[in-house]
Amino acid sequence: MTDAALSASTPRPRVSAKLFFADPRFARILLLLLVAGLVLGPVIVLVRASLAPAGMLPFETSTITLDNFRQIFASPDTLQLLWTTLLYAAASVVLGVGLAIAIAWMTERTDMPGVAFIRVFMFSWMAIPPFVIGFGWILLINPGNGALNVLLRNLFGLDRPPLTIYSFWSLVIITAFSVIPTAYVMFGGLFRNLDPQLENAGRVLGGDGFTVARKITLPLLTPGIVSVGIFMTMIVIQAFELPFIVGLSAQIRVLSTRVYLLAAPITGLPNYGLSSAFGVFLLLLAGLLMLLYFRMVGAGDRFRVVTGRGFRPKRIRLGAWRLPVAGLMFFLFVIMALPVAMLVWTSLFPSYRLPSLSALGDMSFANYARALGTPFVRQAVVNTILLVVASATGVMLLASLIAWFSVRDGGKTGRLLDMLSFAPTAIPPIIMVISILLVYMRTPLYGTIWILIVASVTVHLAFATRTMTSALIQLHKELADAALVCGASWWTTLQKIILPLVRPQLLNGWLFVAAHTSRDLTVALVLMTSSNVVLSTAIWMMWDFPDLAGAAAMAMLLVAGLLVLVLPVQIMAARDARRQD
Amino acid sequence: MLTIEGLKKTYAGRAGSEAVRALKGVSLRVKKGDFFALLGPSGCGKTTMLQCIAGLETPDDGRIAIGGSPVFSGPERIMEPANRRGLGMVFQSYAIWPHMSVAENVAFPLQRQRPRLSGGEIARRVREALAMVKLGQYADRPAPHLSGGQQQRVALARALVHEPRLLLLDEPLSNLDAKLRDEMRVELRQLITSLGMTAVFVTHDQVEAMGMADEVALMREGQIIQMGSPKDIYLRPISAFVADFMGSGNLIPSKAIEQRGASVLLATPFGDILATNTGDVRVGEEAILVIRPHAAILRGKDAPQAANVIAGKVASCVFLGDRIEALTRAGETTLQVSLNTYHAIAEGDEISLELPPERCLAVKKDGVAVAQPAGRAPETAP
Repeated sequence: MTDAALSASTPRPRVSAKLFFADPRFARILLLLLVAGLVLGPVIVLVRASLAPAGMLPFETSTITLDNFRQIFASPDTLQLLWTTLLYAAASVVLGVGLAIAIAWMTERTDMPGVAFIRVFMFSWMAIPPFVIGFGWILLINPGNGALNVLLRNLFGLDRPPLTIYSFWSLVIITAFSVIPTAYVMFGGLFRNLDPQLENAGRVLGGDGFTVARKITLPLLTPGIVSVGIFMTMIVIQAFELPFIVGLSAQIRVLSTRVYLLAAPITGLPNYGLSSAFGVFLLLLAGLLMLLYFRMVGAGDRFRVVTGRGFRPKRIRLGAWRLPVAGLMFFLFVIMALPVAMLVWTSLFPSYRLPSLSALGDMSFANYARALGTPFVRQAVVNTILLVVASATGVMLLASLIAWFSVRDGGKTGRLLDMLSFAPTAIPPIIMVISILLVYMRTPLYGTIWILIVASVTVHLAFATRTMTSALIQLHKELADAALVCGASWWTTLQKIILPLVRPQLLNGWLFVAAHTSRDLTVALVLMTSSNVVLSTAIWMMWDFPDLAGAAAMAMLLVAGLLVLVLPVQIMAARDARRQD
Repeated sequence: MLTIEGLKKTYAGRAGSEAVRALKGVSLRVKKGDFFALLGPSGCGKTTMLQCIAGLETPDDGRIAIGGSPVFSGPERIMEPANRRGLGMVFQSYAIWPHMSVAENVAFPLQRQRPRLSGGEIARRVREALAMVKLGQYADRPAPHLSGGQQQRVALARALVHEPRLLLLDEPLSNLDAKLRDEMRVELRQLITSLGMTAVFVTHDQVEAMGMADEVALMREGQIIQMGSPKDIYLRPISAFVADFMGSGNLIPSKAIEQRGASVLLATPFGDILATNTGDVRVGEEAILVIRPHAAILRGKDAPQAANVIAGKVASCVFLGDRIEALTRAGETTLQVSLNTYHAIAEGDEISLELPPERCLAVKKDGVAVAQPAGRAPETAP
């Protein structure tokens, strides 16, 4: 479509508020500006801040200096930091992805019992905030009075606590547990769609079970496994909450926590310049992994074994192993769920009590009542609801518009929109939010709940756009064409035809963003002031205070709210999946 | 009613491929009340053309006017968007909105009318439109619960309900099974002509075009090759492509040697043949002689040697009930002829074929492969 012909096309538009809805070109340009502002603004400011002299904000100075980078390269600490980050990410991913592969294989390709439960468990697990898990583990295995430590000490008569939360490997294992659900979901699809004929062929040609697995199945799955591995590495390197909650006390420093601590130090003034410079580093690292991921996904196309034909893979009979395998799996889930159970326990006692039968009598909901009674928490609940509803609705609306213009018009503007909205994927949330802080620090937005909404929309834009774009691509172009020819404007077409047709994807996307926004601590913590506290930051403050019981009660309320949001859809999805089996 | 002048459209090529010139300056005129067909093989630009008329594509240059008012003009920089052109369109996939009932689908264009129509008015017109396509009792049915034929009727009702200035149809019958297609062809034409509607439709099927249209424009590679009534195009093709596309026929390479009024004498591999010069062939030019299979008249072996009578031998012969398809060797050339059922001929018979000059067509050679039917079975009309 030539822009020259377009720009001249419509009869002179009447200038009115209706312009946006009447003329798609106007809407498209406005949208492009908005998305560019949301996404590029922070990145530009981040780079600018990293080049600013010490103690200066990006808007205050016109000097460009490499001082910050020089400082980073000069410090011997930097190499150590990078090494710790990479080791931490690699170890967590190898462990988490390995376990996820085993679970996905068992649920998708064998006759293990309890498959539907595992699916629901895995999907719902994503609703539980990582920082809440971190709290739970601290309560379980801190060296002082961790419940498990006390239990083991009493059981075996040890004089030293056998476990500690404050070690590199504890952090790795806890992070690995948090990797499992996402990786499981990705592998589940991979294994489900592997055409069993490829394996059967190997068997017919004389391979035994093990040979087939080694020579055929594994090579076929390798590109998929490697690309999921890279994707998860990217996620872990970006992760902030667990290294922050668990790693800081243990003196385990990774890039994401370094960026945060420089921008929001516990004591002293923030050093935005150095923080930004580290941020640029982390950005490059994440970008590199992103590139690698796309390479791998591209290579995976050659191995495309997802045929989309209506076949059902034959499930391997486990025979006598059926129950032991299931038992092992459920043992793992019990371990994963233990921190949540510990928090539930903690939330039921006015002051911290070790789990024991004798304590049961003192159980009460006093903490819940006390917490909900304070104006501070009430404000946080109101803020959270506002944040979640506004950012999920806002980002899905924005994503629908972007998807509409990029799928329908294609062209330069469409491609640019698509690319811009995808960029935040490569930007770690901690970087994005610090950049957003730098951008909006001097605006009236700062300190209000609205800056959280803007940040949340930006962070989730890539996911939402991906969801809506793939939904819209599947719609036949003529469905929209028909509406236009019938006299509907683009806005009416989107509203009456397109969005109703993609309602399931729209709803799923909305729920995903809502869940992730409400469980997020990263964005809320960096942008926190006394007036825009949400539940996650409220819990953090109570924990830090410390009011462990109050924090636990609030965390459980948050988890309950999230489960109410997520669980019905998951149970319905699992029921559908079972019907197909 | 519809005037198009010098319409051009080029699609930018994707990385590594050349730009596609979909329309290379197309002009045409559709009279009010006409049923007009854009016919051509896939990739000829006919669909792009329809999309440009509808306003779903923006041409690069040229002019489109509907009912006298311009909806697109390159030089004057006018581009009326699709939703303001007041057209009706039936899509190839029918594009029935699955989240609405039949009645809601049909009501949609009426609800978009400004000034607004009253609810009662809309309901009445939806009822009328559905009755017109014989779907009166299906009004409340969810749209996905319809058969292909019914969906097509809904699409038609939706395209007609707001009495558009112009009705566009994109391959309207291609998604129906063969039997239904034959029925709908007749019904669609009757319905649209009885409403006095001007309609433009796109098809790749020459039988569909001939069976439905008052006027046909045959397109190839972004240009209109020939325009006229179906009879005219079939009987008076200007080029080998047109002759070949409109129906099966023998295409024989030849050379024009003498002009005789409206006819021309062609030198062919089996002797000189006098043919009607429909392709404006000049003396001395290479030309193509077109002989439709049923143009030849069977004469006895002993028929007197005369102009346009050739001798041949039946190489193969297939009895098809309503006709006999025979391949006849005349010298080095094999002719496919279609004969009356009651002729008694058999393989190996020596025969004479009379080729009346008014049934022989001399057309321009335009790069269509001139294939000789060899030993294979004769093709039936596509």
